[in-house]
Amino acid sequence: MLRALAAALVVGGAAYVGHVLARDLRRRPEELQALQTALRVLVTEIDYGAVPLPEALERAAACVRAPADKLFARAAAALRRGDGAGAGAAWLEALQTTDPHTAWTRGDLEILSSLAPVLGVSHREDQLRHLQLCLERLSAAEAEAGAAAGRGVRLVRYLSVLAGLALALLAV
Amino acid sequence: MLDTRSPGPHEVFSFFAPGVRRLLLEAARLTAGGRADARGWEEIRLRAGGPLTVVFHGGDFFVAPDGHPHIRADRAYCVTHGDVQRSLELMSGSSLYALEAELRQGFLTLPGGHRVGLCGRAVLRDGRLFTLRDISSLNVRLARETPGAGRQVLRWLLDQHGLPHNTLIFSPPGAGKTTLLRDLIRSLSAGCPDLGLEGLRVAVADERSELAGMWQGVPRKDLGPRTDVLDGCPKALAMAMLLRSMNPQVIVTDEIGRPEDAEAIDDALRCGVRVVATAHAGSPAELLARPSLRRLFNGPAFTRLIRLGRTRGAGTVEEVWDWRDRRRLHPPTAWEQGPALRLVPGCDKQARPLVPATNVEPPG
Repeated sequence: MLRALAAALVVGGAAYVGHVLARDLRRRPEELQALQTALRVLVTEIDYGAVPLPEALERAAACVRAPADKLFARAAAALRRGDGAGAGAAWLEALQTTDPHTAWTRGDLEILSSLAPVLGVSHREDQLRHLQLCLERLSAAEAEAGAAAGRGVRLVRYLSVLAGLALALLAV
Repeated sequence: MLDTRSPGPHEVFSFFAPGVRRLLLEAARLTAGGRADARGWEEIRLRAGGPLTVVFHGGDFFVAPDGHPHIRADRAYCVTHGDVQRSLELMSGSSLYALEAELRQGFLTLPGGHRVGLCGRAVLRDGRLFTLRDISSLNVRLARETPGAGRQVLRWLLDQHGLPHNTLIFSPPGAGKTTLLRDLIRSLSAGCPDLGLEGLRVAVADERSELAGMWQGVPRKDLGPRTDVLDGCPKALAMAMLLRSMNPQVIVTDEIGRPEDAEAIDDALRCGVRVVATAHAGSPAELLARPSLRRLFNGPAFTRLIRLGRTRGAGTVEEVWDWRDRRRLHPPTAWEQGPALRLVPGCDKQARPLVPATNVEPPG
């Protein structure tokens, strides 16, 4: 009885570990999607409202969940600090202080950092073009992350359960 | 002359690229108390590839790489394209896209009503100016305060009912029209009991955001307690809207010149509202030579003309005319001493050094 209970615990524990790993794999597409939502809000604020950048970034931050909200809020705060840093520097600062536990990869951050030299320094059409390009690249990254997650999630789950069973057989 | 002074240019320094800002701060420190005292600075000019230049009453100087004012351009700090771009970014609050209308007109307005003139490469679409790009020159014109200047000219402007005559203030650029107009608004709005003027409801059509110094919806200049400001709207449209919506006694606007401006003023005058405005011209004859403005001198329009000049510094009231009777009210005879109008201390024409000896640190 005790052996059966121990075996069940080992298999259950392994399955839980697999579930946690699978959840991490699913986070990246979700976080990339949140980034795109925030950027779309930014596009709207710039295109229709001609809203000043700090305020537009704050509004974008208010529309999404962590960690994308923190990125936009930090950029807005850096701009509002008024130390003459400029939008590019504020955006890079926000990217560099991103929570290391996000699922964003270095490649994702590089896509975002491509906005730094252009953010706020050109006319509306140019701003929209750059933001649209960034959105397209993020969308491609999300699709790629989604496909990888789809494959990885199944694999991680199967492997974790199988590993748990093997461990249970050997140990119990 | 008017007591025309700016609170000092320091409040605009934060809008310049850090390197330029440091030089300007040093130049302001070094010139304090001299002929080129920072309180008398009128313009700060950045030209990519050119010298950093400060214009003050009586001349200009170049700022050397150590911040010293210099009369030779080849000793000056050479402004880089990066300085201009960085300054423009700071001036636009990193939101250049939000200022497209201003770019099309060739200027921005900073908090405090300081106007920044822009030059660069024009981008045309369908034969019309779409925007300016590759901005290469910035000219920051420092807004000034003239405490009491409006009161000094008011005595010529009030009629027997205690209302202002329809008045046009004119001069070539840079002679203090906007500065005088701003103080006049304040006086009309607050009232001057000693002149028999009760406070009036004043509506300001502030197309360029210079009069109220509006910045993101907040006026930075005091225009009096009974003043409403319609900011950033084309003058003709703004005057019509103000007439309909704000029940003004006086409508004020700056730099009229387009046919539609004249038409809107004509309309306002036929509605029993008084109008005070400014225009670019060097003399009444030049005013009349402007086809768009000529119609305003044929009908019931402007009955008082004020010509400003720079004979004793920016804001010198050169002439005041009763245009209905074609009679000059001031000065009664040519160049007789008018009212006590004075310029910024340090801006008189005495040959004083740019940098007072006391401001130069001893070597070592």
